[in-house]
Amino acid sequence: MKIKRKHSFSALLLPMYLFTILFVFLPIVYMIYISFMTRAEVWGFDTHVTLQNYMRILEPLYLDTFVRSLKLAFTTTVLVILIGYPFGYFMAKLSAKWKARMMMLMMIPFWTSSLVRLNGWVIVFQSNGVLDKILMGLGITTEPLKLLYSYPAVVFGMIYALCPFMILSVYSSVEKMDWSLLEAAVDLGANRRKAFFDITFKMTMPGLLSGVVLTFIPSMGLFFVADILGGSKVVLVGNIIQEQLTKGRNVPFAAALSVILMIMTSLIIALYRKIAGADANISGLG
Amino acid sequence: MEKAFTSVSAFSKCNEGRIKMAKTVLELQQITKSFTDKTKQTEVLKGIDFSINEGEFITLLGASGCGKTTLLRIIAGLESADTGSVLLEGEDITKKEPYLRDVNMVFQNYALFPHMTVAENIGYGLKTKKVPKKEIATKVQEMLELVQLEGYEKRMPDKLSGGQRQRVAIARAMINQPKVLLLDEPLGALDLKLRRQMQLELKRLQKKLNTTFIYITHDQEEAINMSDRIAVMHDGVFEQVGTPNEIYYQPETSYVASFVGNANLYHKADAVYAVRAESVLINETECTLDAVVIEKSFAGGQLRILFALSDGQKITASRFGIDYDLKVGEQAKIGWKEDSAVRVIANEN
Repeated sequence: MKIKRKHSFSALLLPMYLFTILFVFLPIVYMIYISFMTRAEVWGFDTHVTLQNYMRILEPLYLDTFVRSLKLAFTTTVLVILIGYPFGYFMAKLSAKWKARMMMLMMIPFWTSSLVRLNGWVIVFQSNGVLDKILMGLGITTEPLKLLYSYPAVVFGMIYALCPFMILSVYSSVEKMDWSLLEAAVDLGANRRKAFFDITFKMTMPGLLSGVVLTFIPSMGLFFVADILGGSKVVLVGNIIQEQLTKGRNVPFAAALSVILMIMTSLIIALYRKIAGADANISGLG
Repeated sequence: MEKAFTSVSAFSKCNEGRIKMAKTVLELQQITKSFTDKTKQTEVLKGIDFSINEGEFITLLGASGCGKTTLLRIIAGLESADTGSVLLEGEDITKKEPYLRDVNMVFQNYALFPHMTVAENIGYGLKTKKVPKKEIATKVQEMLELVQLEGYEKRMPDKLSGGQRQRVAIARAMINQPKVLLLDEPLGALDLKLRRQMQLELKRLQKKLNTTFIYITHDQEEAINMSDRIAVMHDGVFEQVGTPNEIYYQPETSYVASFVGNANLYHKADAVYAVRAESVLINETECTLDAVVIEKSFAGGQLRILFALSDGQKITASRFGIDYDLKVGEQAKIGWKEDSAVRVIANEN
């Protein structure tokens, strides 16, 4: 059956292949190519092959940035799991009416540009901003917290930007749960906690894992969050790439940084696929 | 270990020499349950009183919506009764958490854990009781042998056939040696042939392990084939409780008579009589009623002839074979021997 139909399918897939080759594969090849070139005097690059760009990444300044980015991504992911998993779980257990309402509330922010929303948080977090005024008005604090342009502010921004992905991916796997399995576990002597970890948690693992991938990978590259909420105090790989491209005008070095970042994210996806298993029913993640 | 796990073979051996003694294992007292859905309140169970003896095979027989599943879930503790008590070997377990109750359930859709192997599924109950791993492995092997699934321990549930899944579900519940095993239409999803085979196997297992079974079905043949006693449920009450013989030959109500084996209900004056189709005589000396054949159909190895009496009542007669010497529209005399008509309480709707 499958073999017979394969032919007609591949014809239908042709536009997708063309698109992928033109807009994904070729740019990546081009980027890798540039990463081995030399920086030009003014803009662009000279076609002198060099390993200088990669050597430069090994400088402590840039290595530290990679480590910092990984740490931030890790922190963000852990916090997103802690917030997003229960959120998605309980959302999936709501009545149909409330599910639709919650879904609506989650979607509304996506109608606005994330840059605008992040700048909204600037107003909230800045010294003597909305948050400070409320806290000081209530007498909880006496002076501005100076939250803006700090590491916690960046973590907050990351969580804010990425939590919906975790929530939705956990939600969709919890929604598919067959609750009679939980009853069976309880019937067989598992208390509710054990039944949750043995059954629900294990069965929603694919949702959680795809949420982790959807959180961890973007959080290494969301340079504008660090830019807007972290100012110049929190510099991530994404920020360096952007700076090298714009202010530094070092296109080959930016390309080399991007290649390394890409390799790191690919490794994480490979790890995810290994954990999730080859037959994981959570495709669509490359 | 609170309770020593007797090995299956040893268990069955001591079972052979067992003196049959009626010991009550489960008692239900005045169980009621209502469900509220928005504005409508439905009374699902209207005061169930019942006691079950050790080693008995009890079937709750009834149409869907009669409350039989709810009753089973109350015994398991997955649902709580509004009023009334559940007593297990004399202990009131009405408020006991389901995971602490010494009863197990075989679910209608099997509810096998899809992320665990057959062996892990079967051993789960013992694992929650912290039985040593080695012991679990031994018991699982015994169970697999008992349900004839040796060699399947490493399989995942989605790689099993319906009948095999059924066996795993039964093994997973029975390995715990529950005081009562609850079975919620366990054979409902199987095809007819497999169902017949599993009926016999279940009965064999039940006798071998001497476990008390409470079995739910809406199939009267299944109930008659397997049960020691049948409780016919209708509209939240037990219509009649009795042996298959009693239920079949001495129905107390018109509902029982028509639900179990589709008996004819013959109304005469104020009384209602149940007459089984096979007891209806055609053109014999006892026959006094004028009737017209209005339909003939062949089903289940029998020809069913539907008659209309002169007062409009309809009576079905059944005969072996595929045809009978009467055509549709033909006149006939029908009747029955006096002792094959059982007077019943009229309550059919």
